[in-house]
Amino acid sequence: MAGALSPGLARVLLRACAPGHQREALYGDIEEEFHESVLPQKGLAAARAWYWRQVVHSAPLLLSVRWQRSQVTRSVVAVCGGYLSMAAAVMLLDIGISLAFGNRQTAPMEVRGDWYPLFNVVTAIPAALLGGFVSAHAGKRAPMLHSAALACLCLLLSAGLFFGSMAQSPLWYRLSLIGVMIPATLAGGWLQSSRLGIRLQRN
Amino acid sequence: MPKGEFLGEFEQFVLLALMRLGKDAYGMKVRQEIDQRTGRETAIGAVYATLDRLEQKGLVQSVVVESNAESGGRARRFYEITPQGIDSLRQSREAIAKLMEGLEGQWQER
Repeated sequence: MAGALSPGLARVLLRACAPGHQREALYGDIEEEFHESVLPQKGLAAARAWYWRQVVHSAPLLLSVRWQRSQVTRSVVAVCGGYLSMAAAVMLLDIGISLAFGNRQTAPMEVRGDWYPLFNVVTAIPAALLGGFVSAHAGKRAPMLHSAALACLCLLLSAGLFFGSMAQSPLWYRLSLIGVMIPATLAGGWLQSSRLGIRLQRN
Repeated sequence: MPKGEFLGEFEQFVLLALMRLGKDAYGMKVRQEIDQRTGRETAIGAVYATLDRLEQKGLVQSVVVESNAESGGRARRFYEITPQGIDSLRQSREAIAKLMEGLEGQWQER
């Protein structure tokens, strides 16, 4: 009987969205209500519309439960989110300073002037702080672990740049970037897991 | 008391429905109880998502009962409010009651 008259696509969608530990109970519940209460009272068309309404309203909530339960997915998104926020902060600061100094060209840093590498090192600090904070906030069950994972990712990428596209840059610049980004990322994680993060969660 | 310790409105609905249903509380019954008592159509997913959250907080506990004749041959997950859940519900209700003190006149229909 179950599933005989209820809309097939909605059934598939519901099962796909439901978290594993609740899937069978939830699916059984909605099928039971559909066949025993809604269908006899409302007729097939209205009962199917009710089923669809249930699925459409339930899907995002069930997906959020799955998301909260899936620690691996959450951790990956936390680290990637931290990295993206760090990259966005660097980009915004770069655009801001370019606009401020009327230097909008995308020329290599050597052309921009001697101040540019130093500026890059200085702006890396708040960007890395933000990245570490975001990673720790998104992975708040283990905030320092997530900011440390982001710091490792930065270290790997920096090592790639060290010998790759930035190989022509001054050595002090390359070393300084690594030297400030790793501790600043960890400091961002520490800030989140300390009082500031707790206050944000309460608000 | 920190904000995080109070229950949300729908969490209170679900806990109160569990108390009303007693031993017969599973997802569909909870949903129907809230629908009938509050007059608003509730999504089954909202009930399950809330029950999951409450279970993680230790405010409800669940047990899966394997298929039998009464359940139409399917497994059901039954939920029950814990003593901690009752305490939490009482605290939230008391907070609302304190906020409403002295405002009774403003609730009368015009």
